[in-house]
Amino acid sequence: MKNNDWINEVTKKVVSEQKYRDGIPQLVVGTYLVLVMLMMLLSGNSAITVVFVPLIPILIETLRKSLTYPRVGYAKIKENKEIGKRMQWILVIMVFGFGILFFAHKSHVIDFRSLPSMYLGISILIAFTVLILFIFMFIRKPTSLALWYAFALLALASIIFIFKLTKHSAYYLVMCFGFVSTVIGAINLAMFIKKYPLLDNND
Amino acid sequence: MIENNETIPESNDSIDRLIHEPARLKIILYLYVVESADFVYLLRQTGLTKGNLSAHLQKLEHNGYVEITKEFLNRIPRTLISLTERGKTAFEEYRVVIKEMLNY
Repeated sequence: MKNNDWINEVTKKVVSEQKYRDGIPQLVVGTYLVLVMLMMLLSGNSAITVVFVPLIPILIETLRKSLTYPRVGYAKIKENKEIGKRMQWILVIMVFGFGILFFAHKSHVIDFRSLPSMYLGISILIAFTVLILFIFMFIRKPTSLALWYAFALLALASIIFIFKLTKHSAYYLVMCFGFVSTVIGAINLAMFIKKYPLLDNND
Repeated sequence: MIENNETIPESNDSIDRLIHEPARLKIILYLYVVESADFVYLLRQTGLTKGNLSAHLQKLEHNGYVEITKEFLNRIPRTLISLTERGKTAFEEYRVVIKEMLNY
């Protein structure tokens, strides 16, 4: 409805500010990527890094409680029930899809073993990124930050694939991406802290 | 410019004066797009002073448009404000009235 256009614009502004203006997501995700690549370079073991993924939103929220909310306050964004329902369906389809891939691999209908394992991982990463972009388009327009990350991942994966980089080169490349994200996040956070000094006790 | 045959519209008394005040309109607008917000958030978004914001919130609460709850988060007091159903309805009616006026 055209009537709701300006309300939607205000909502988008509020949501975008809440999520991205402090730079903390970029900082945390970038640091995570750098640490993961370092672990893979040093120990060659990547499985354990998956354990840290659920910690990312917890860490972001913890940092926000001490740095962001005292400065700009806290607003609870409304849940979009329509998006929630669509997400549930997408999760069901994804689980179903991965299940089919798993059984196809196990029953040798599709032979993933013919690919060198690193390129298999990258192929899956490319497919996963395209899938995530598709999901965003279906649910809602992706934010510019999400698009930036998605295209950067695609570009990195393509470079590794096209130039057939060795494992270590690929790790360094992803580490660079993580480092850039960390720096951008840190700069955003510093600017945010300067722009929004702590207020006195307001109650 | 009003032509000879055109009638001048009568003044519209259905505007909710409680919402029509610029500062309170800002407060209600930001509360409308979120589920709830704390005092600091509204302070930042509206650009009002603490005293001014408090006064407007009191008036809105007195008329049943907002609900204010005080709680403790990690031993720090926090004031949470949300729009009541009455406040949401009033804002939506206000939007319709203003839209009709502007479309005239």
